[in-house]
Amino acid sequence: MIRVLLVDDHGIIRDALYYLLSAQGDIDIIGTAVDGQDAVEQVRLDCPDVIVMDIAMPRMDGLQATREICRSCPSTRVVMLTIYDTREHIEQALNAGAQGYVLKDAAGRELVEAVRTLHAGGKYFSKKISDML
Amino acid sequence: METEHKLDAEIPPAHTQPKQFEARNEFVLTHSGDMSERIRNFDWSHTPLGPMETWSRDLLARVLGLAATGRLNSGSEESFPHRSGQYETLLNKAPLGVYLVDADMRIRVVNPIAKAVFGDIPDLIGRDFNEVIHRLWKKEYADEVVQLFRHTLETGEPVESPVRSEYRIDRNATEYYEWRLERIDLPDGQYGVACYFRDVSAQVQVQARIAESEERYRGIVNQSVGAIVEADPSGHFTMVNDRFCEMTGYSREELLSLGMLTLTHPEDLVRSRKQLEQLMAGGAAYEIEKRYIRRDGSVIWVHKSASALRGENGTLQSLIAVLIDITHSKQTEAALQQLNLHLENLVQERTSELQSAIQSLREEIVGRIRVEKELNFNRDRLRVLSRRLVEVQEQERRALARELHDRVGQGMTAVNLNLNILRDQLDAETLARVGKRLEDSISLLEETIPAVRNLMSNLRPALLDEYGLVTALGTHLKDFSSRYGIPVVFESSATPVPRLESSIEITLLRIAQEALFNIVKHAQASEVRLDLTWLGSTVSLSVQDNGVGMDLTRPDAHTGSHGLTIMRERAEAVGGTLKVASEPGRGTTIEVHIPAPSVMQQAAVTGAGK
Repeated sequence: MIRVLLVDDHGIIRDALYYLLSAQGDIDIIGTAVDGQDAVEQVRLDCPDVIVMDIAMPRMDGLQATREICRSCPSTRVVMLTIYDTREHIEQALNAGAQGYVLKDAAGRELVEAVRTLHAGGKYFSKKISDML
Repeated sequence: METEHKLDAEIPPAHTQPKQFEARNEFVLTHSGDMSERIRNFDWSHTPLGPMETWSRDLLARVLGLAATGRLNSGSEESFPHRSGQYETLLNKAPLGVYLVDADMRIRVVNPIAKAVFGDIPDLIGRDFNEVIHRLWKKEYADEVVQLFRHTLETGEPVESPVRSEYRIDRNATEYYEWRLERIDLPDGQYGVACYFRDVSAQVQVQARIAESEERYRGIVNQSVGAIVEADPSGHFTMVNDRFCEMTGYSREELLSLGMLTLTHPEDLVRSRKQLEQLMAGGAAYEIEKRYIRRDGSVIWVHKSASALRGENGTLQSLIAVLIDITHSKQTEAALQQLNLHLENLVQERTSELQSAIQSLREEIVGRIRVEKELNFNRDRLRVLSRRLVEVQEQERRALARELHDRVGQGMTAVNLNLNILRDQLDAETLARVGKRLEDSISLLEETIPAVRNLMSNLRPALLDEYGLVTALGTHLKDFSSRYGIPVVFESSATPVPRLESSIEITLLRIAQEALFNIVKHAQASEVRLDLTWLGSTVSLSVQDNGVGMDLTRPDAHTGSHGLTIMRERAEAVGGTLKVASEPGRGTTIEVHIPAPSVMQQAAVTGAGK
């Protein structure tokens, strides 16, 4: 089972992600966090395999949280799930330590695969992002 | 006095005019006998010779008779022998020339004065009178004289000669004599002609000189520029010169019947009279300016210098005044005063005009300053408002962007996720029935979410807030290039542009976006260049294209372009300026300069302020 932490400040997104991912037989949602800070604190107790991380969040954004988590839990892999599609955001995410970048508009089709790819040790970018890169 | 006795009484008249003789009995001899003294004291010089004193002639005639007959000093005159010496004295010292010509026309007696007149002729006594007289005078006169002697000798009629001048041929000079001839009875029973004469040359010359001098004086007086008048002690004119007549318009005769003050203007009369009376009473000479009324009624101004002539004892003899017509100078003075007044008025008018001009200028300046202040105030207010407007607009956009992100974006994302979840959980039969529709919905969402993202990004570029102007601009330019196929060169200054105040960053980004949008719409450019420079405290942005450009001289060049106006307003709202340079066919350059301390600098300043 792939142990996954969901981080998003929007409840409906967290719920939707929860149902989407937990419906898959191989994914275990071990927790959800409402922002970066929350995520960092939860990761201190238990390092998930993969974190699905939003970027724009209050208190601490996803980029900052990713940097800290990559330091504290090197085994944890982070896939950014965001609405932003600019190069800067992508570069920032990669620099922070993210291994995947999925746009929210394609989340339904791509996120499950992204989680699985990352858990398998690979990197995943939305098709749109790959085209841009 | 008892010792006096009348000479007349003692000497019986030898003449035929006893009446005259008696009538003139002033000549008195004293017993002490100084007759010559008395004669000398008698003032002949003031007595015309015409009615030559009968008494003296009579006496002299008798003395002459005695002298002629040689009995004067002989003591043979019985009647008054003791006085014979005195008679001689009388003859010799008489102030007259006296000589006697006898019936034979020979000179018999010559007194010293007469002798002097006869001059150098020697041995006069006994000489022929005719001959002698012709040696003295020209023939015509000498003949006349001799004839007169003969006449008197023959008829006994005396001859009086008025003063006349005759030329002395012996002396080569003109001499003046008055003389009288009388026939006298000589003691020897004969007739003789006595000539009494007086040389009046000196007197005549003096009189001539006086006359000449008077003539000159009169000339001077009459030709004088000034009027000259003389008045008697009562103040009546006794002399006026021509000039005074001209001056007053009166004739001399009229003036001489007038008093000094008669002509004086009534208004000047009181002080004139006071001055004149003081002068009459012994006061000093004075000068006065006053008016006269001329005969024709016109008024003249005169300057009068008056003085008094006084006798030795100080009694007033006459008043003399010199007057100058100063009407013209008075008129000139009045005209000058008038002119001065006029000038002063002009100056005053001009001054007050100037003052009011200055006042109105001042008011205008004050007004302008006030208007300018108001304008500045309004401009500042406008800028504040514009800035506020931009801020509000940006806040709105930010809020809208956040709404789009947080609600629409997330909601659509959630729906998208849920639709995916639903699709995965449908059985094959249901999937076959609704799968297509479900798939379409998911696709629609997948297309709509980026649209929302773009909208969000346009409303409030997340990059700008997170990464700053350079990043935001760069991203936008890439997007622009790929969307419109126009290559853009973007250069940022060597000095990295720091994070600036949010409103300035968004302003520059918006201006760049607007400029690029204008290029797409109007410029038909094949290349765009964008420069962003930061020089310590000013950030500058220029957007340059190689498009068709525009004619800025057209009146609507600036106002006509809505885009330019918006850009300018945005720049000015944050205290910046915007310039447009363009020519038809040569592209357009837009330059924006905004004073912009970096956020760090501002923080430092704020910190230092604390």
